[in-house]
This record gives sequence, C-alpha cells and structure tokens, in this order.
Amino acid sequence: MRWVKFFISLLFTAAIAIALYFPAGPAPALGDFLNPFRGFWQNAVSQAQQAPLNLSLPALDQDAKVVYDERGVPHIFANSLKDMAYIQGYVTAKDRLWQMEFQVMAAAGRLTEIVGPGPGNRVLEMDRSNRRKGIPFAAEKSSKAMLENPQTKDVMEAYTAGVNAYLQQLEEKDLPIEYKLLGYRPEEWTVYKSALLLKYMANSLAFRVNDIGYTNAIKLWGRERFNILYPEYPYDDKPIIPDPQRIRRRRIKKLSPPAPSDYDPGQMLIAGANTAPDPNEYFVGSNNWAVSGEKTITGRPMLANDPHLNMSLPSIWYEIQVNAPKFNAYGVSLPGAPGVVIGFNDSIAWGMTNAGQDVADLYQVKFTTDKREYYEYDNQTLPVSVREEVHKFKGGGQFVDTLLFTHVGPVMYDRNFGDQSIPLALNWMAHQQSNESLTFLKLGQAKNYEEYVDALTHYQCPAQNFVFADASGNIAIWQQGKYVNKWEEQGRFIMDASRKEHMWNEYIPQDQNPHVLNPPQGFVSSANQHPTSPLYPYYYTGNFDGFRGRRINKLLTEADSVSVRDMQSYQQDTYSNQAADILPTLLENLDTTSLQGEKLAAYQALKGWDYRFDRDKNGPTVYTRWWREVFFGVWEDEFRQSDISLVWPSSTTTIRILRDSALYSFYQNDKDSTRADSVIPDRIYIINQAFHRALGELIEDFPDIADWNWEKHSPTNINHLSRSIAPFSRRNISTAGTGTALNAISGSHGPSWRMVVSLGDKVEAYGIYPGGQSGNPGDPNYDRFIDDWAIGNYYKLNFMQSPQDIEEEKRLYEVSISSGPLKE
Amino acid sequence: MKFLLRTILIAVLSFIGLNFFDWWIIVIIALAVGVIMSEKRPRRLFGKKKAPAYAFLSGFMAIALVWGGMSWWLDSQNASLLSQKIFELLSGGTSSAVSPAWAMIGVTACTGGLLGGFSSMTGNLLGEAIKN
Repeated sequence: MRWVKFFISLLFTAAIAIALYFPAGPAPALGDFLNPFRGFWQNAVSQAQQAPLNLSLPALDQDAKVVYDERGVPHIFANSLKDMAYIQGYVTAKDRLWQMEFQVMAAAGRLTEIVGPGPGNRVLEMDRSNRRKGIPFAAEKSSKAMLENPQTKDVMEAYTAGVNAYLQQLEEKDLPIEYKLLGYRPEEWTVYKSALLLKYMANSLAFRVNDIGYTNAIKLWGRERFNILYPEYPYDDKPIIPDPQRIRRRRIKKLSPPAPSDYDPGQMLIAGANTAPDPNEYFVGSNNWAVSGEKTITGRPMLANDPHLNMSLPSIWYEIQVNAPKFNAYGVSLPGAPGVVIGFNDSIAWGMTNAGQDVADLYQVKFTTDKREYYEYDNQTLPVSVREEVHKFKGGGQFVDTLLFTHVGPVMYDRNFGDQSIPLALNWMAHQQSNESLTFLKLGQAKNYEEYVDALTHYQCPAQNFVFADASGNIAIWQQGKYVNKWEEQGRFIMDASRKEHMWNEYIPQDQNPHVLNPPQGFVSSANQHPTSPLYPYYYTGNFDGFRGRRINKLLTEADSVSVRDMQSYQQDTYSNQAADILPTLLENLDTTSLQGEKLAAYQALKGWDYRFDRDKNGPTVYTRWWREVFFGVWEDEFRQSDISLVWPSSTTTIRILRDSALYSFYQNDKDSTRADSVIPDRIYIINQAFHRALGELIEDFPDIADWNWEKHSPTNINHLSRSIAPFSRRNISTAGTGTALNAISGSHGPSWRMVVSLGDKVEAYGIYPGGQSGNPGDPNYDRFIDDWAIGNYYKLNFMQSPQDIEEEKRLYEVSISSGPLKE
Repeated sequence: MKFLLRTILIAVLSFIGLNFFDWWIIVIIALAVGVIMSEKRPRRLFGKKKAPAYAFLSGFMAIALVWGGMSWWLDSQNASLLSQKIFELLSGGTSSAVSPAWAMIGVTACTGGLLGGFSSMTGNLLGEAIKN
C-alpha cells in the first residue's frame, strides 16, 4: 500500500516535471521560462542597473575605456582601430545580441530553424526566396573581400572577436528574452555574418524588381500605353544633381540597344507578388541635405539626414561614439557591423538616402534539356552548377531546395518556386564582390572632401546618395554605387540569358556617378528622387519619388540664416506635395450640390486645408481615404489580376493622368456593371464615386467627426522585429506626417534616425531614433526615445574628445577595460 | 516544528541550488529532504494519513516562497515593466482579476510550488515505504 501511494505520487511529480521540461507548441518550456533564477524574470532588469565598472577582455592590446552616457550611448576610447572594433563588438552584443543574430538568420534564409516553416509555409517561402536571390552567396563573396583588404580584415576580425568574447561569458540567465521564448541559443559570430547583415540592407534597399510586371504590361497593353503608365521621367521633378552638364561622358560611349529591346518571353509571367500599393505611401524613402555657410546662421555648413526605414524594436540603429588615435566618430551603427554608418567626426558629417536605381535584372534561362544540366549562351551550351540548400525546421524536419547557378546568377524563379514555368535567373549588383565596410571605416576618419570621395570609391551596393559637409565650408553630394552602362531600357524587361548583348557588359566609371560639390544654390539635397535630369549621359531606371525632393528644394531655396532649429523643423515638415498636386483637381470635379451632414463637413475640411498632415486636422484623413479610392477607381479593374504579375502605376503617374485627361481608356471600369451607358464623363464619375465610397467607409469606421483627426486616424506602430511577439511592440503612437511629406511617417515606416549636425571649430549635433539603446523589452531603455521622437524632440549628442569630456550629470557610468582573461 | 524545519530546509537548499543548477534541482532537493525527514510511524488511528499531506504543503510553501519571493523582488526592481508584457503574451490579452505582475508572480509561485510539493510528498512516501 505504501509503495502504491509512493508510485502514484512519483507519477504526479514526473508528470509535472515533464510538462515543465518540454515546450508545448509555440510556448517555451515553462520550467526554464518561469524559473526566476534563469528564466524571463532575469530579463526584468533593475531600473538602476549598471554594467560592471571593470572588465577584462583577452584579445585587447591596450587598456581602454567606455563611458556610457545617461541615454545609454557607449563612448569607446581605445588605443587602436582594432581595439575599438573589438570593444564595439562586445558592447553591441551586450545590448543587441538577439537582434544581431536574428537579422542575419533572416538574411541567410534560416528563420525556419528558429520558428519553424510557419503557417502555410510562409516562413519557409521567405527563407527560400532569400537563398534563391543569392544573399548567402553574395555574403560569401563580400566576406572574402573584407578579409582580403588588410584594413578591413583587422577591424572585421576584431569586431567578431568582441561579439564572441561577450558570448563566451554570457550566462544562461542573461540570455536575451527572445532566446528564452523561442527556445534556442546564440551561435558563434563570424565575419561572414557581418557580411550577411550588409546584404540584409542591400536586400531591403536595392532589391526592387519590376521586370516581370513590366514585361507582362507591355505585352498586355502595347508600347504606347506602357509609356503612359510607366514614364521614365515624372512631371515637375527636382533632381538631386541640379546641373547635369557638369558630368561629361568620357572613355565609354552610350550603348545602342539590340533589337528588339523589349524582349518577349512568349507568354505571361506569374512569379513575383502582385500586391496592391497603398497610394498614400507608394514610396517611403529618406531625406538628407547640407546647407552651405552662406545660408546658415553660423556661417559654417549644416547637415541633416533622416533615413526612413521599416521601424522596428529593437531599432535598426545603435547609437555609438568610437574613438581611437586619428579616429573620432559619432553616429549610428548597424548592430552586427563595426564603425559608424551615418554620423560625423571632428571635421566632416555625412548621411545617406537610398538611390533607387534598378540594379537587379531577371533573365530567361534556356536549358537544353528538361534535366536542366546545361543552358544556352552565345551559341554555346554552358553547364549549370547546382547548390543544394537545406532548410532545417525547428523541432525536426527539413526541406531541400535545389538552387541552379548560371553565369548570370542564381535561377530565382523556376518550376519549383514562384509558379513559374519560365526559369528566371537573377543578376543583382549585390552579388558582386565588394567591400562596403571599408567605406564606413574611411568615412569615420575622413578629414575633407578628397578623403570622403576616396572612401566612397569602395562602395558598390546598395547605392546611396551620400551627402557631405565639412568644417572648412564644403558641401557635396554623390550618388554612389556600382552602375552598369546600360542600353536604353536594358533591364526594364526580362532579358535573354542566351544573348551576349543582354549581359551587363561594362560599368560606368565611378567618377562619373552623379555628384556635385558646392553648387551655386548653396545647398545639396536628396529625397529618393531622380538623381539627374534626362541630360545625364547614361541610361538608368528605377523607383523614384519626387514629392519630398521638391519640398526640401523649395524650403532650402527660400531659406536664409538657417539655424539648427530650422533644420529640425524641415525634418518635421508635414506639407505633402502629393495632396497639393491632386486635391484641387479632385475638389473641382466633386459635385457638391447635394452634400450635407458629415459629407459636407468632410468637403469643408478639405476646402480650407493647407496640405499639412498635422495631428489635429481632419483634412488629411478625408484626403487620404478619398485619394485611395480614386486611385483604385482608376486602376483596380486592370491591375488586380490574380493570374499574372503586374506593377501598379505610381501615384505620380496617376496624378498626371487625372490632371491632364478628362477621358482616358483606363478610366472605364469593366467590372462596374451599374454604369453601362452613363452620360457623366469618366473622370468626374470616378472622383465622385470615390468620394462617396470613402466617406461611407469613414463614417462607418468613425461615426463621430471628432475622431477624424489625423492623429487618431493614422497611428504609428513600431513592431518587434520578430513581427510575432506583439507585447514587445509599441503600437498606436500618435504622430504627424505622411509618406509624401518630409516627415514621412506612415504606418511602420518613417524616420529611423533624425540627425542634424552643425559643423565648425566645435561640432554641435542633435539626433534621435524611435527606439532605445537596449534590445531588452524588460529594460526601460528598450523604447525610451519613442515618446520624444513622436513629438519631434531631439537630444543634444555628447560628442566627446576624451573620457573626461562630459558633464557629470550626463555621465551614467564608466567601464575600464584591461587586457586579460575574460571576466566581468 | 518538523513542518517548519522541513519547509525552511527545502527553501534554503533550493535557493542555493537554483543559483547553480536548472529548476529540476528542486525535485532532487525536495525529494531528498522528504526522504530524510520521513519517519517510521506506528499505525495510529489519527495522523496517519496526514504526514504526506504535510510534506506536500511544506514543499509547496518552500518553493512558492523561493520562486514567488525571487520573482517579486525582480519585478519590484523592474517596476513590473516586463511581467506586464509577458502576461499579455501568455494570456493573449485577456484581463485578470489581479494586476498582471501579481498574476505572473502567482503563476510562477504556484508552478514552483506544485513541483516542490509533489517532490517533497514523493520523498516522504518513499521514506515511509523504505522505513516501514
């Protein structure tokens, strides 16, 4: 009897222990997770927590110091670039380990190892896509380039060693909470992973492939209509480089296109997403500008940059100061790569916006047989090389994908991926061997224009508009990337991998990239618009947007005695050129005779509106909804097709058509049977229909007009990087602005870092980003800057000359680092 | 007296053990203490059935105290910043009668308590089975 009781009790104990030991579905193993000595409670850090004041690291050459300021920004003072990078690796891992690794796992197409294949294999498909694009293959080449150059070799290896030093002493209890929740452990860091991170950025900034949609469109509608739907050059643009004649073609000549240039694969293509755009955030990009001393209150240049990216928590940026002999840079870094990406030093400041040129082209591959071992090229047959890609799943299982490589690049879409019967190989600039990290290393220590230009020569992809200003008074902007000398429209459509003249045969000399130094207008700027006017001697195409560029050009042309505050207010500017361009046409065509109640109120809100997307106004809300319905009223019946892939026309194109044409073939809606033989002209019909539909929905969503203000209507969400752990996100943040205004906050996109630098004998700089230095959701520093960011505040940046050079109340604590066996 | 002693013993040993080992150390400690503190008992009419129950109770209280106390301490240092988020995550947004922090502390304490209680009772029953 006693034994029976014992066994029953033992059974219960074992059952509880087993329940706590094994993870149940998506939930973590509860024993590990709840145990307050090792589980999530350990991530609930004390509000007054400080790092150890003494630290010893094995690979350090000479003693060093890190001063943390009150906002948690580390200021590293080391005695060599190597030590500096080593410590940067260590402190970044300490704050952002999970994020660093997660981004790299995403780039490498390895997320299924962490979260499994996902519902409907969504995660697996994303992983496959990243591998099929050749991101890991590109990162392998890039890490090779980093290690071939002695300067970057030292720095990249030191950074890697720093991350790994942190990993070595990391105890179970201090693991970032995401590891505990998802039930996995960090791997060792490598130089290859830093390279993957840079390719992760290339993927989000320089992978926009319209080739499939354009090829279908020209086949479907013919050349004439195609040119109207997708004009190469928009109306009323202010290109980045104001005077293109400065760049004269030398050495190489413009290529003439082989006939026919719009290659026809013979059938419609399916691959590639055909998702409808939001016409109000068709293009969310970035701004940067520099104002010469003639136009500033200090008499010296000022520079501003706000890169707009998908905002997430932890933030994409990590703020840092890195100091070593002849090196003193401050700015934001990418967790996972050494140095400062956007920032300033004692002599210069620099910033970036995305260039948007098309550097990813798809080619139809003609295999000789169904076995796909050889393909045609230039009247020969070339062998296909095969790479087996194994996707391992969390909790067991795997999927093996076969990736075929041609000399053009990896076959991204084929019968196994993208429902694509025509195999399409990807030729992408990110595949080429390059060493972008050398650019950032050199920018950090550049003293003048020449050194800035020299730093840029190493930069290939993702192409950026590098704005520049120095303390001696120069301002400049270069659009830097590696570009192909393309024939007219090369790469706009699918090309033929078997034809030599379709290849990327020669490149534009780097010194002929669009650039300008000290233009007479007294400022330089970029906001993702066209880099040059059509007078630029080389052909290029891509995704550009002119609304913000025109605004900043206007503001800076009119400006005088510009102060730091003015620079900040331009970044906060909420005026939308998109609304200014189209709203008058919409209002003119609206039949107002029968409007009453809420609809009349909506009309009145628009009548008196100044096109500014301010929090308390109703105009932006009504306009945004109305414009969306107009946009879809024009295009939806043509473009929402499920069986082929198409690119929707831009807002800019839609505006031009609506303004110029009362009648237009695409206005007719063949799905709208209620309007068989109406006498109302098409444009008026679309605009009025859209107004009533938009208002109907608005009234349904927000019955009280008091809730129509922009603040309530357009909340900003900053999601956790995993996109699946909702409580780690910050949602419903009240903000002003919209995608087409300089303050381009839109949904989860927006200014991921706002920086204003005033150059001079002593640099004065301001900055803020929507996040916080800590990557730990249990730390108050996780999202500490968001509230200030949302209302447009800036922090004065503590740019220090020495470890003592900071006001006492701004110094949080200091860490002395010595060389020795690893210990905290 | 014995009840109190056993509770304190399990609590103190677990507190020390948890600093070096994973949570399963609780099972070993509570079980071992349960065995050691069990005794050969004459067949009496009263009290006979209560010994295992008391063993359970002291194991439960000891670990609930250690886990609850530790999590409460960490939570109060953290102003309940993280426990709120974890509660939201685990509960899927449903509301609770107590504050999210206390709910999480309670769940933690009870989970540890159940494990400690059953381990301690098992130890007690094992001890009695051996000794008799």
